[in-house]
Amino acid sequence: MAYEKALATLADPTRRLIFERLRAGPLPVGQLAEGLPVSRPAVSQHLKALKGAGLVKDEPRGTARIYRIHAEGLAELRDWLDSFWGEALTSFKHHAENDR
Amino acid sequence: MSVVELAPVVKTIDVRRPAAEAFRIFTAEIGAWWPLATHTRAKTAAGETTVAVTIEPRVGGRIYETLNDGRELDWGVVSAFEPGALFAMAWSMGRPQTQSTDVSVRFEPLDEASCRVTLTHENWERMGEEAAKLREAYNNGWAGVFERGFGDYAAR
Repeated sequence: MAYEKALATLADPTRRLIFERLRAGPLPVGQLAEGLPVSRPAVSQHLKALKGAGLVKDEPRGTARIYRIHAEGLAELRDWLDSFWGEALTSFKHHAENDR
Repeated sequence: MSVVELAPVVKTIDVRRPAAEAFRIFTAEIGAWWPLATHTRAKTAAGETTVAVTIEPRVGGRIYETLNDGRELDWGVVSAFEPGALFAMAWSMGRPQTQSTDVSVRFEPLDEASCRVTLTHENWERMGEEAAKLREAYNNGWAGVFERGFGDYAAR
């Protein structure tokens, strides 16, 4: 399952930090690495892993590469959560309206 | 776009019950309506079943399930408890509380006898590997839902 790879990739706290930082908007590696407790090459490695799991996308901008969130790897998890809550609420409605 | 892909999961349902009663049933009677066969942390393959779900009715209260052997598994912590209006929790399902996701359930009156219930699940991408386990339990429970749940429902 695609989402399992995505989740395993996000299990690493530094990767999760990088991913959450990108939530605010696209950033180049240099800016992404600022303030993180790891080196810039290490950040690049983490970005490679995130890209491999379908969680980020990169594109060239001048001489730099810009990274942005691309949550394709999480689409399956989102769909599943959508049905999970849908079923829970349907079950709630059924109970609330019928079992008095 | 990234923002859309990580947008909260939002589900809405209209219920023929006044908002205050719907809130009470949602929180106090969760063990009676929650789909216990599919939507819990119990490892059904290992013989575990969930016998109860409890929401402690106060901010800071626990939400947990009780297994057939008496053990309690935490689901999260209550973050809002406003009877008739709003219930919210930091939903962690066994993960560290720092990685919890935010679930809120809003109750809005439609008229005197019915209300609209809106569930919003934010920061769900923090679910981590616990989501995979949860989904496994969910899939293993399907046979039971169809055999028992649907049979009971159809027989009404």
